[in-house]
Amino acid sequence: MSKGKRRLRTIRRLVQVAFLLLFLYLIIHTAEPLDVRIPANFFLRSSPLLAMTATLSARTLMTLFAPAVVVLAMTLVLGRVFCGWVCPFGTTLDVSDRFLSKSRRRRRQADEAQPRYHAAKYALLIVLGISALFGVQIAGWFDPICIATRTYGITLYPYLNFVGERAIDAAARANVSPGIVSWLDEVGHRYVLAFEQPVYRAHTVFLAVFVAIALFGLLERRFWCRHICPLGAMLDIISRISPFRRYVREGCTNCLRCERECKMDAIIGSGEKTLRGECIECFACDAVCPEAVSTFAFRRNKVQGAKSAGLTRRGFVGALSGGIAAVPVLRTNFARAEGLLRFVRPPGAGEEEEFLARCLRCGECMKVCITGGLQPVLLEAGLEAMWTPKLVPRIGYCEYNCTLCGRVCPTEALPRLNEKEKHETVLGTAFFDRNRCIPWAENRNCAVCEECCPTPTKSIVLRDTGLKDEVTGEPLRRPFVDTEVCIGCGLCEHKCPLPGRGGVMVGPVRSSEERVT
Amino acid sequence: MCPMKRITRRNFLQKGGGLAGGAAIALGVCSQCGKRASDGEPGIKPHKENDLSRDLVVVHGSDPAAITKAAINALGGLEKLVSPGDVVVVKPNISWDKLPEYAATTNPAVVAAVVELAKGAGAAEVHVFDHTLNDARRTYKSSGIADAASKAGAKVSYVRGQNDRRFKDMAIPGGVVMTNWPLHDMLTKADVLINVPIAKHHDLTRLTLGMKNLMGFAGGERGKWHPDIAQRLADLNGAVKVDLTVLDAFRILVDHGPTGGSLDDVREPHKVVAGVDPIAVDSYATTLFDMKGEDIAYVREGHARGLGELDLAKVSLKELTV
Repeated sequence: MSKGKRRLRTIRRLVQVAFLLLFLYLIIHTAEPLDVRIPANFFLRSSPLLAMTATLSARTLMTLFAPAVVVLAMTLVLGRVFCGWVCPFGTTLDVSDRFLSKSRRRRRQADEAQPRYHAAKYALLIVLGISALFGVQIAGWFDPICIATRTYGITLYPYLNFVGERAIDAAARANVSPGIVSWLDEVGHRYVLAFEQPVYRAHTVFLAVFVAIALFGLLERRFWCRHICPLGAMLDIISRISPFRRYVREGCTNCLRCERECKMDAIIGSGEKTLRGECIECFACDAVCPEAVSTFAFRRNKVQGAKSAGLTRRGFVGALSGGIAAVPVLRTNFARAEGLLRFVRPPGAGEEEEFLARCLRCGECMKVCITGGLQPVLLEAGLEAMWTPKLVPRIGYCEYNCTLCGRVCPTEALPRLNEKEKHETVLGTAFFDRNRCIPWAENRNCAVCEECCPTPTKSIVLRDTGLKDEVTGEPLRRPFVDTEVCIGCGLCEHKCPLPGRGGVMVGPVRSSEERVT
Repeated sequence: MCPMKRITRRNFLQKGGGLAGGAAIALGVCSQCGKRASDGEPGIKPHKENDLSRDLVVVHGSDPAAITKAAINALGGLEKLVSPGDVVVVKPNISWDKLPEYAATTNPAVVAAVVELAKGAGAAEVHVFDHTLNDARRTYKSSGIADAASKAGAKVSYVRGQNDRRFKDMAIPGGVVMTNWPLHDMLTKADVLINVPIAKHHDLTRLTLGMKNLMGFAGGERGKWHPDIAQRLADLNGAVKVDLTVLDAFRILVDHGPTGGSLDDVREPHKVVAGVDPIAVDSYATTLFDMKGEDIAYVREGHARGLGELDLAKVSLKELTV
């Protein structure tokens, strides 16, 4: 066993941890004031899968995906190092596999046998590619960077924040010195904690998805990466050309340690053969090789290389048909019909059709939203729209001067707006429920909605009624919406003091055509 | 051989330990949830004895910092109010995400001048904060107040929404519609409270002035106050003892307040109004909008509760130009 080789594995682990930490750092700082030097959406933009499907489905060359081109080039030269060294989701699974996977026994029977079911990921890749070609963008449901973003950003981070805040509360109640409490509060919020506790609807769904994927680690390590990951499949195919490969020098005693150690099940032939495309270059095999003959180099070696079984013809045709079939299944969707959406999209989302073709469902906009009002859509706009963002004003409104969501969107499904453009962007229109609104239903003055309305000339105006407030006897004034000015930011609905449903609500734009943006 | 895998100590600790540790933390944390600290809760600070002049001072001039300092000096200087080592709260309006020229938030130079004078009078700590309506991270910055106040030596802190842990349920002595409400705990810790509001249009109450600025100390669902806003504000002002009010009327907002957003609605009286009587300050401020103190229900109510003088004829007014 050579120490030098072990060191390589250690370096790889350190690099993995570094990238995971960078990913988490960016996730935490995907928040006002968004002043990190590295773009907050950097990891999403380095996924070639997202780059390809977004470009296909939006029919626009997505220049924001320049980092993905670097990943492609890296894969062409070095193979699947992205999966082994960079992918934050892969690293996460490496950690969970440590706890979940049982002995590292081999699951295959015969040495030469191909691993089974590896080809499923190619099928998924084809389905995603074909459906994207027809304008259905669902790669984000399966892309590992999107999954990691949703898992960490809108699922685990709120839990972490909850525990952190309660810990500070506990310190405050335990009567430790106030200096320490305020120091904890200040430092905690500066580096880790959210400004206010974030809450995302259906976070348990995202948690369940993550737990399910992690639990596959009970069967095999990196189960997701071996069998399902469509990004892995894409890099797999490209990496087959790469000249940088594992090879085994003379002197192999066929001890099979490398075969047992390989988390991708990429070593066959009693340790001497490597499945190109499956290998993620984690260097575990050299680290464990007692003869120090397992190594990596730029060398073509046809004898030792092996291709993992691709899709069968039947599988290929099946995947193609699946991709095509997904199109009518998903696009038969009322949300694509104008005027049928019941909710409000984030600022600048534009036409629903175009938005659905671009949105990755990654959750960046929800994470960054300054008020926490951007929330995942579930099935209320059809399966196709699942996990796209909507504004839920009761949770948080759209802050008038804020342009954060457009700044983190990796596909410009939400455009980058300057402040002036943002002010002119109409999300929806407010309307009153006169059966609930306090001045209408209870003859009491209220006007919270009017007070906080941010448009320079108020979109909610109070009018004299000639009536008196039933308790104070002051003149009763009732609110009306000026639909020509209202931008549908939802601040009125957010601040309405009624419990549960507001007396004022924001719905889709309801006005003369020229106001539709 | 037993078919079941034996639970070894090692893997029990490894797998069970994590679980148990997690559960312990969760339990410890949750046992704290929902508890309210109530034992030995100190009340809101009383008025600070002081030798400030009882005059109402109005200073006119083109430099907001200079007129603020002149106004306070005309009252005798903050040394007459702040003792060395005091904890001082300076409460501006930082509620809105607007630049200072839109007159939706207190002029940052006015705030900084008050902070400077308090530090100069020997204050150990000067705290500046507000429970804002727009996102505080934006309003603290765009109003220019966080920057100006911290440069002047203040400790500027955010209020993290209506459930901030520093809001503690407090008794409102003499409250007519409110007997208690969650209020900022600096009110119990401070020795001196200086209210630094801006005078603005506000449709429901007609004007927002000094009395209404104290809403920034309140947590909870403040929106519920609005049907009884005058009574509520009088309750709050009866309980929260303001030692000095420095009202910023360098720029004022005469329509579409309290948010504004158009320079057409901004007027520039270039004034600062200061005094120890909060009702007199508010009453004078109404005259900048061609109104009278009686026109504003909460000012009238404050007067009726004995919080100060509404009738400007009964107030000794000192006007200066700098």
